[in-house]
This record gives sequence, C-alpha cells and structure tokens, in this order.
Amino acid sequence: MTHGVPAPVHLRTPPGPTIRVAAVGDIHLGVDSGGGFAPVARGLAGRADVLLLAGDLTQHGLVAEARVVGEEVADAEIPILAVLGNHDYHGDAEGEITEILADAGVTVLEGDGAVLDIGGVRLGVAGVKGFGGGFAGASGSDFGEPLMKAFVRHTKDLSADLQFALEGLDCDIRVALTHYAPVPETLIGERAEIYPFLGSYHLAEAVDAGGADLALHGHAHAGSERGSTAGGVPVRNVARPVIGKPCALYEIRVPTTVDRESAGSAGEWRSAALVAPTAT
Amino acid sequence: MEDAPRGLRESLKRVAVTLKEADIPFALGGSYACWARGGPEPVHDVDFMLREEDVPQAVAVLAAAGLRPVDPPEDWLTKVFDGEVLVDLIHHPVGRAVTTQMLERSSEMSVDSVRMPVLEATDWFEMTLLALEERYCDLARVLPMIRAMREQVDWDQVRRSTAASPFAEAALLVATRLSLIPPADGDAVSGVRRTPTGGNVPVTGRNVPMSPAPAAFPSSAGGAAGEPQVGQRAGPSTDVAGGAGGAGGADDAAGAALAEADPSGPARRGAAACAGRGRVRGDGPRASPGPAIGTAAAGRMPAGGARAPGGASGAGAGPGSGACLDLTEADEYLAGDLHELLAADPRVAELGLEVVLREGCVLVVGEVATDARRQAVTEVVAEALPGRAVRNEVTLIYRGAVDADTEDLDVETIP
Repeated sequence: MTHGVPAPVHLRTPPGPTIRVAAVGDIHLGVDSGGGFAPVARGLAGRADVLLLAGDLTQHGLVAEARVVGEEVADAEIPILAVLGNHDYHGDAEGEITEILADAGVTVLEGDGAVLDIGGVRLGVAGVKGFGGGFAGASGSDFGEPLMKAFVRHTKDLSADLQFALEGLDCDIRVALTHYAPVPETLIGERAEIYPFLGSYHLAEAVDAGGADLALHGHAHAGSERGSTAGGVPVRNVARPVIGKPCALYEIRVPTTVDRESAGSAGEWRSAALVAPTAT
Repeated sequence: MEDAPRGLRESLKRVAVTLKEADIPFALGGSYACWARGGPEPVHDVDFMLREEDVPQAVAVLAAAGLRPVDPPEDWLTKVFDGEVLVDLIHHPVGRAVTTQMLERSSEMSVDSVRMPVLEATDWFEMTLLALEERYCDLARVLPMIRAMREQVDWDQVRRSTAASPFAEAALLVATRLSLIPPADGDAVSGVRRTPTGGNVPVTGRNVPMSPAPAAFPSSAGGAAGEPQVGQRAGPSTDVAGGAGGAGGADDAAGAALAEADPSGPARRGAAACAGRGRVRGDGPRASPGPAIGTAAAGRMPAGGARAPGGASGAGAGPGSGACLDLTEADEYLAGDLHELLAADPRVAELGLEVVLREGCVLVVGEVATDARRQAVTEVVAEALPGRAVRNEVTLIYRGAVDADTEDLDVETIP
C-alpha cells in the first residue's frame, strides 16, 4: 500500500526526519457497525504515515465482525498495523480473524514486528496483545496454583515476545504496540482494584529493554492518555473512549543519529512501504 | 452580584433565541433551569442541554451571532463566551447522553420574558443528584433546590434512576426525613405492579420514554418474538415503546447471522455454564427453564431464535442463555452475573455496563455504540431475570459525525 498524492494544503510536516503515527484502539466494531470507521481509515491519507490499531477491533471476537473490520479498512491509503485485544479472542477465532484482517491488508502483529520505510525513515513496530498481572506492589506472582502460574506466565511470555520483537527491528524509530497497558499511569480513571486485569509491568520492562521510542496501548476505556515507563519511554493509551476523537496523531522525530539527507526533502509527501515483516 | 445575573440573563436569552431561530433542539439546564422553576438565581453560569450531534451546528450559529466558541478539554460539553459570560453547551451531563426524548420532555416556559424549553424537573434532579460525588456533595446547595421544585418532580422516578449513587440516596433520605418530599412508595418496587403472567409493568406516568421495558419483557404474549426491530436504528429519537408488532426485519437477520457465525460459541458456553452450575430454579409459573437448556445444550437452537425473547418456549433461549441465572441469589451476585451476561451476549457484548439491583429493580447504566445494542440490554436482562422490572438507562455513544472528521485532529510531538 502506498499513499495517494494528497492535496498540498494538508501537508504540515516540518522539514527533517519525522514520521506521523495515527493510533486508536478499542473501536469494537460489530456486525451492525459498517460504515463507522471507514471514513477515519480513508481520511488519514495525507495526515499520517501509518495507522496502528491497539486491539479490540471487534466487539465479540466473531468472524463476521472481523469481516466488517476488514471492509472498513479496505480503502485506507496508508499502511495499517494492528494487534488483537481480549475481545478479539472471545469467539475463539483469533486465527481466522487475523487471516481476515491480513487479507484486508492489515499487518497483524503478535510477538513479531514490521519495518516500514517512510520516505527514507524506517519505522519499526513490534506488537503483542499483552495481558494482565498488575503493577509494582500489587501484582500477581508466578506462584501457587497452576492457573495462577499460567496467568502470570502468559504475561511474562508475551512480554518476552515483545522485547524480542523490539530488539529484532532494524529501524530508526521503534514503537511498541499492545492492547494491555504497560504502566498504571495510563489507567488512572479506572478503579484501582482492576488494574491487574488491565496490564502488567512486565510489558513496560520489555518496552524499556527493547529500546522503544513510544508505547501505545488500549483496553482501559476509562483510563488516561499519557504516561511513561520507568525508563522514560512515553506511553499513550489510545483507547477510543480515552482519546475522545477518531484517532490520536503522534509525530515522532528520528533520534539524532539518522542522516537527515536520507529522510526526503521537506514538504514532499512520502511513500510508505512495508519493507519486511521481521519474523521472530 | 447585581450586575452578574443581569449579564447572565442577557446571554441566556441571546443563546436561546439564536438556537430557536436555527431550529436546533435544546433545553435550558443547569441552575438557570432551577431558577426558571422557582429556585434561587445563579450567579455563575448558564447551561444549555443539546444532543451531541447538534453541538457543531449550535456552535456554528452562535459563532455567527457573535459569540466566541472555546474548545474545553472536557468531552461532555463545549463552551461559548458571550462577552465575559460563559455559556456551557452540555451533551453528556453526568456521563449520560442528552436524548431526543429528554428534550421532548422539557416544557416551554417563559424565562425572563423569553419563551424557551426548560429541562423537565425530574430530569433536572436526576442530573443534579448524580453529579454529587465525593468531592462535591454539599447538600446545603441541593436542599433549597428541592424545596423550590419538589412538587414538580416524580420523586420515585428520581429514586429509581439514581439508585446507583450513594450520594443521591443520601440527599433523598435527608429530603424525605425533612418531609420535603414524599417517602418512597410502600412497595419496594414503587410504581411497578405484577401482572397475572408474572411480568412487571411499570405504571408510573413517565417511564415509557426512558425504558423499552414493557415491550421487551418475555413474559406475556408469546408473539413478542421479533418485536419492534424494524426502523429502530434511526437513532436515539426512535420511540421504542410505540413500535410494537412487525415480526422479522433487519435485526433478525443480524441475529441470525450472529448465530450462524458462531453456532457453537456463546450458546454452547452458556449451556455449559448452566449445566455446570446446576442451580436453575423453576420458581413459579413464569420460569420454565428446562426447554431452554435442553435446546441450547443439544445445539438445536434455531438461528432465527437468537433474538426471540422467550416466546412459547418459556424463559429465553437466546445466545446468552440468560435463563441460567439463579434468581434466588443475593442481588449483589446477580448484578455481577448480569454484568458478565451483558458482555457475553452477542446482542449487547459490552463489558462496561454498570448493573445495579435494588429492591427488585434492575438498573443498567452506561453507553453502547448502537440503538439495537441499547435495546438488547433490556431483552437480555429480561430473559435472565424474568419478572424483574428493568430500567434501561443505557445511552448511545454518538460517533458518526465525529468519526468521519479527521480534519481537526491535533498532533502531539513525541520527543
């Protein structure tokens, strides 16, 4: 997928190597939601380089709902990368849902990453659904009953997958995409009692260790948009009800080591192409 | 104090007249609605209630009339300045959407010589009491308003719709003990009477517009299957209770599609849950859960039956197999079960709804994306707890126009 040529009036990209990421989670499309998201996906052409979907794309994890999602994003002119959320697993059809989304052109990440070349800037995105477990001082432990251990190990496994995927990205800008939250700051507004079901500090460990420049998640509808990891990585909760708009836009500047010459000339709209999904 | 109210009133009238001339439905809300109905005159703010979809047009006409719009960070209102006077345009007071029905209930009154719709007193108190919270629960401000407006209010309705709020309950208790308002009806479920078939029919004057309950109860006429689905997607303005009849329709197709798409999913799980719990009670003539369970467990549930709220087979055999709730459980547990059921049932599939059971009534609040899902809330609860009155206070998330507009998205620069 590549950009069309948008009207120049939309170009607000400053000179220099930046990329613009659009992100939203928890769009929860049902079989009765046709037509609601398509204008958003289409309208981002010329406003963002890539759209990241932070899980809970469907309402109930049904194949029929995934088809609606596929139809809604089919006309998008920018690359779309996604992770699934807990709702997308509810119908035990996550495999088929992934295939339907892939057929619609969406790169679904689960323990792997993808690198996009955006006008010479390489944007790497690593994604996992993630899971709960809680945060420092109030978290579950890999201890006790088999189910409890399985619960915490699922989080640990997915976090390890995320770190591995982040580390495997050969890119200029690294973004971690999850459904569950890596930090409690972006959960503020939710009842504290349910934080352990909303995210895990193991995800933040992976974000920090994997050298991410930005971490995006959804899941916590009543949470807050902004936080950061202990390592200083900005975290944004892009759940649709949290951001209160069709999607959030983030402009990310390439860390200084990147050669500015390679980033394309100022004001010229850039093409974004999937360079290589990095299998891990 | 002397000048401020006069300035406020001038702004109030200017905004009201501008909205009236533009044919934008609205109602005067906030403390000026209370003033219009006999309460103390406010000195701070002017509030108007509008539907969210009308806000952009309202802002446009007010800007054209010389007012200055500002876009506040809050997502439940927007603001315009008339000179120094701030006017709030509220579309989601206390987290609930302003609906067409709410605006239609408002009464045309003369406010400082200008006729305009003023929020109905019962709606006004629901909002005011639900706005009380831990950091703002000063009853000294509320009690004079209750004194001023008490005879204009359906207090039982206020009690029901604010049942989830301990602060509202406290305010109503104080007002009752001070004999400002009548005590709740002797019957715990005030205003609801039993019908011979076991269903509850609300009889208070005012509950029809807010709740589709009577039409959606699975109890009485078996022919209720496939009830008013056609045309209900028109949006929040559709009068639910008025649309009886009409078997089949678009939503039945949707229901069938759901059932076909996942024939072994929720229904099977629901049946398994029933069998596992083994606590289904057949208490009284209204519940006949046997056939429902047998049907679901045997996987013979007809696809089209996904939307049929009971009918001849007795308690509902819908996708959620709601019949498996143990009706003798404590309300607190039933509320938890219903919360889960509303998430698990494909017709609603919403995890974020709040369920409160109080004295036999089931109150559901929160937001869903479509009108069909909103109505399904009543169906699912009625199937799961036949015979309980359902207060469906769920509102719609209005997203269409907002979603379509990616023009004005601001960009955050990540360092």
